[in-house]
Amino acid sequence: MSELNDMVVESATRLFSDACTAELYDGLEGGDWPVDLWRLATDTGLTSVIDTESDGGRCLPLDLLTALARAAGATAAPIPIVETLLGQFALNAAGLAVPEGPLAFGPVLTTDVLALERRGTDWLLSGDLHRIPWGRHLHAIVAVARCGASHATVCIPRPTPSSLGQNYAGEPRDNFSFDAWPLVAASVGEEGRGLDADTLYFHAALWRSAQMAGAMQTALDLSLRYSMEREQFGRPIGKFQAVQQQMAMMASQVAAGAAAVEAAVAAAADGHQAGLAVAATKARVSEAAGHVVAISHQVHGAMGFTREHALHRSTRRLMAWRDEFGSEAEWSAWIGRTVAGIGGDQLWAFVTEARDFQSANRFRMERHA
Amino acid sequence: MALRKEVRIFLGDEEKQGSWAPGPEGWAGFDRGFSKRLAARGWVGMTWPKKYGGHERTAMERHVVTEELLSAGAPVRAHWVADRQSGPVLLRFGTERQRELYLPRIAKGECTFCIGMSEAGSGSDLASVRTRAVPVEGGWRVSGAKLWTSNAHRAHMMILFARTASVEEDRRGGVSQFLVDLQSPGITINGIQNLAGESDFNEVVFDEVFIPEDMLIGTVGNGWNQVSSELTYERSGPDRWLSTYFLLRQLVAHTARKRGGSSHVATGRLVAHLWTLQRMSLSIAGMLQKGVTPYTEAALVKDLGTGFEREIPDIARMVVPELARLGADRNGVLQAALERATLHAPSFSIRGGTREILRGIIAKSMGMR
Repeated sequence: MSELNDMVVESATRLFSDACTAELYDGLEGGDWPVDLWRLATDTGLTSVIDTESDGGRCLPLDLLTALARAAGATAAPIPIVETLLGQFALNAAGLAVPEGPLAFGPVLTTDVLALERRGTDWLLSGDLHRIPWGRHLHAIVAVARCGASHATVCIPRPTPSSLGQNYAGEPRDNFSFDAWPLVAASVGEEGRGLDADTLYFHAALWRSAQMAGAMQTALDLSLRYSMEREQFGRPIGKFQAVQQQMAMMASQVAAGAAAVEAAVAAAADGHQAGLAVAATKARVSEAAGHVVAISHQVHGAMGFTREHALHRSTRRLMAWRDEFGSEAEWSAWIGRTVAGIGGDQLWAFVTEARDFQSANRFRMERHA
Repeated sequence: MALRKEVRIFLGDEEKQGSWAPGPEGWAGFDRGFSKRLAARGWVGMTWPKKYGGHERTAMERHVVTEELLSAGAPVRAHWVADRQSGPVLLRFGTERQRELYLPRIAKGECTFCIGMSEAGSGSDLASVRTRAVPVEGGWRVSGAKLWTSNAHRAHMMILFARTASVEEDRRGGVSQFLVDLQSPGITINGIQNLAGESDFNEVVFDEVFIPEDMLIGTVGNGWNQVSSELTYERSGPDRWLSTYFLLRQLVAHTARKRGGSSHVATGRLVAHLWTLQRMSLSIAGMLQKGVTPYTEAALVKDLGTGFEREIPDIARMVVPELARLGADRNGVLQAALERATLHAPSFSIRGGTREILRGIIAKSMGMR
């Protein structure tokens, strides 16, 4: 990663770490919107995907964006920064204007399908969107809808949830229902332009993986610090081999997750469809998250099981995020099906040089409407 | 990368000529002719200076070749240890004469090395070795016995790790390394059957064996540092996660022929792990290329990698439960692969440093010890 990326990530990490207080999390889980944190992030330029240094409004490079996602995950920043950036990314790809304020994108479930129909100069949108991150607080949802045989990106301003929900970490996950919902022409992208729903889903899986890599590193850091501070039997518990072995196992899982994210970002930034890289990464990171949650809590003992201790801000997010945009079981199934199509003799070539297998490697999900 | 293709073509030609075929034994096969032909292509001693018969290729290029050989299951044993660690030890610590004498022979695939580290009483606690080298007129006289010495019965040379001062005097400072010609008078090699019924490792007994003084490697008393460096070479390669790849390949071939559903989740998960390990291993090669010694990273990847190798036969049993009970005539290759992987799995997390020692190294890197 470049020096510039390092600087951006460092300042984001410092900003989030300072601003994310216990009161902020309590308020958030009571339904508040963290006004000040969002303003701070926006004023610092962390909520814009556009490279202000470039003329044509180009997007920031993928390695920087995913590094930001990692920083947001490491600090458990309770704002939809990843969702907003990826929403803007999708709007940008479709040539649509980017509205101010927090965004999310959809569908986030492969079972959700939106249909778009023309009526005069305007459009009508129908279908359900479930589990939209931060839904109630959004200024707009960026969604990919079916449009005849093709797809189109739409920007749904000021949507109202049909029901409210949340994930294990208390992050809003709200449902929306659209029945011939009118959209003006300016909110609808050209047919076939921009990301299709599958490509958006793969991107989301990669960005969420980057966030998880950050959260896993924080859980490891907290556990290491705790194990060297907490004393039992007259010495820090980290001096016991039983604890050291557990910590080493956790460190290996964190390292595997981080390495996978780094490699997948590099593959995706290369411009070719990196289906295997993204699938393997989300599968590997989601599996690693299970180990990291279990071991970090074991090391923290009862202290880590309290609301007061900060550990749960990272671990509850990991519990939730490992199932979002595909669990390890779902991505493993994707890989398993794909390699069954390729065969055992070509497996090694596929793993090492996936770019030679474009048709097997494409961003395609099995969708069940 | 074109080099991968070159190696694949070479292996394909070898297979066509009947000199070798992929099988359950994988790269454990010993074939002097194969090693010589490989060397003739410039793929042994690849990174070494040309004046010692090397080819001055990069660590990444060497890594690519080793991955291709191991994943294909090529019979590399005749040159493997010499290329992986003995040569690099001589290059780093050996005298000019030692390099001139042995490196060109290794690079031609003519000289087989074995590792003289473990003893009956010294496994994980390597510094406790008791094989003793006593200074005599013109050299050293060695008595003692090495154990678990793989390939000793087929090797020409050993790099011996022996005590040159008593444990009481200096535990880690009282050890040194020697080049030993296994034809020397006083050496007896006794085969030891492993649990699979193969005679692959040995006891090597030294009875007053004379070692000329110019066969000391490095300096007297520096053996501990040298052996740590040698172990990094031993631990860092793809041989620590590809031991049972042949079984995974057969398993994927099986799912391609047979069934879907839950078996895809199981095989796909293994492929996600394989993909991640391959990327982690590549980054270790990148560190070697930059001249960094990846001591902790090698331990970490070996721990993850051997866990992966060991898991493959267990997953195979879940995917194809009837496999372990089928007659050899009904499902030959897959069944033979499972048998070999199952019987050899216990050794993976022991050889080259036990899982517990590796995790201790990782814990130490985090400041816990």
